[in-house]
Amino acid sequence: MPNYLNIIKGMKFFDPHIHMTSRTTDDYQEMAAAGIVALIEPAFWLGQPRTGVDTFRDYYSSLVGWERFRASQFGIKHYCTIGLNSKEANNESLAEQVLDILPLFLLKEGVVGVGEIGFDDRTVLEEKFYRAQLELAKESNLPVQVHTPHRDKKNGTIRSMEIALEHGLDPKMVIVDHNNEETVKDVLDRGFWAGFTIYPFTKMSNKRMVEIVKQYGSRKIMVNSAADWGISDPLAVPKTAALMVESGIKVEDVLLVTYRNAIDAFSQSGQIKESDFITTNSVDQSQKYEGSSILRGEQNPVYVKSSLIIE
Amino acid sequence: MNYDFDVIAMQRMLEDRLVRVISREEWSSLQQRLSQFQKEKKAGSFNLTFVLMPRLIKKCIVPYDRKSDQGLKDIRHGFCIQNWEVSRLARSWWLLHWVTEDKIEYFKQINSLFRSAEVNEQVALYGSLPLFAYPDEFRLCAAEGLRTNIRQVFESIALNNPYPADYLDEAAWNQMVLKSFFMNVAVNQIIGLDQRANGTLAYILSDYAHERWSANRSVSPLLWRPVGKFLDERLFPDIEKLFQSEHESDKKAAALACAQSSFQLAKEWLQRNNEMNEQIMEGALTWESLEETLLQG
Repeated sequence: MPNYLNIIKGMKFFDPHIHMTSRTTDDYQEMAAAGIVALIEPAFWLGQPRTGVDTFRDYYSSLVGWERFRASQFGIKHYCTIGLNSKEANNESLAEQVLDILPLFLLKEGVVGVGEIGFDDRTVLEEKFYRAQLELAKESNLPVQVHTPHRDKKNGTIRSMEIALEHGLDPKMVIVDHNNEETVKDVLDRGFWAGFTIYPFTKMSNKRMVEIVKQYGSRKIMVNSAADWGISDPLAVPKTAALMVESGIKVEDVLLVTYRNAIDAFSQSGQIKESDFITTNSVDQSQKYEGSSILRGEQNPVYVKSSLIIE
Repeated sequence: MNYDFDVIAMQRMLEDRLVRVISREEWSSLQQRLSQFQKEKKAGSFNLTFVLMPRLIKKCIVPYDRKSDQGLKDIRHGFCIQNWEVSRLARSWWLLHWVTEDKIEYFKQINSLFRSAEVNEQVALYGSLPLFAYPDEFRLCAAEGLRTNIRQVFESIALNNPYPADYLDEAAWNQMVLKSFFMNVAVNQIIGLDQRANGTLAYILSDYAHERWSANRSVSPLLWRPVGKFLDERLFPDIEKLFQSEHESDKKAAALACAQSSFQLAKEWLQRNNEMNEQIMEGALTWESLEETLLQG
């Protein structure tokens, strides 16, 4: 068992941004072992552009179907946000069709927001579909998970918030994601939730995250992994929690930024019940043992990867 | 009428069960949605109510009611709502109100719900298969659903659902039964398991048992239920293997299989093991009682 797990033993975590579709069952197993009890999977770009509305439909239905089931096999409660990502907003005729099917998914059980939406290149089309989806969020009274761009981040972040306000969204319904030292003050000052993605090489490091919490406190701040098909870490939330505890941040504050704040923000959808995952922390053995392709037949529910023997 | 049962009677019966569980406010909001839909006949509002159902009414399991359950079975042969969540029942009830005049339109509408369904919606839709108009049209849909790896979805089709026995062709039926053993679901709850047993299935199940045995994996004693009637020279050695088993449940399964068979060796074996034979004759040993001892053990 890695050392850091001892530091956070008994703590529970909520990762409000992770793309499990691109991850393996090993990840689920390790996440559960590290204390992750629930997560949110935002709809996103799968790495290459889709060419038809049906692939979007199938992707969305896999988020509320198969992936949700897969997570449940490991005792993890899976929620999602549904939206058209910024990159693919640039294919206008397809984006129009996608927008037409979004309402079919937004009000389903376990859909906790519209996301992830926002800017990538800050094109006219990105703005058009960002605005259209903000309206959808308002109509369906759902929180919004906003993706902020890698390039020109500060301006892109501010612009995203201005547009949300223009559409009359309450900042407490908007989670602005992928923040850093440059953007956090603007976001918190305006009353939005600030998400931080702990992602190797390109986004935040967890050491920097410790400093941010020391400086800005734990109010309205949440940590996520945004783990996806790139080099990323599905254990970013528990690892960051361990580093925070080790660095002397109070456990109550660690709990807020790695668990409670995300629940408070997204439960405004009316779709998150904490009792759904704190009471079912242990996996339903009958479901796990007797069924699926993941843990078929007689396979040991806790698979020991380090063992030479596979049976 | 495009239903193969009395749809009005079914609507009333399901309404009766619903109003006994949900609050008066919840029921009147459903009524309102229904009358608005019946006025406008808009697919959008029909879909929305279907999707929103868990938000419109409380969450609980529909209480058991023997008389009413029998009433449902009388209206649509075999239809069963055992252990249903109330929003699942409400969704079935709601689906009975889509317009059925145009067969193509009807299928298109129901199919569009399938295409965007999350897990609980899939369970509700597949559980409603026996209540659809033009039931013939949904064979492929049912077969597709059976390919799922999501346990709850598979069970909503395979267990306590009369649709597969009524409408699946032999290949799809056999596949469903085999997969039920593979997924280790409660096979005694498959409606028509005995009636639709067939020689091909018996061989398929025997092959499956051999695969499991070679891998040193256990075989459910209930696997022999659909096999018994078709025992022959090829299958009887499997039964003999069960007689030698260290598990009492395997021996019981062998006896039950023999009791279904007219194969000479099977009959002779039963005569030699009179104790089990008598238990079967008295009804003390059945596939159901065997399942119960398995669950306890």
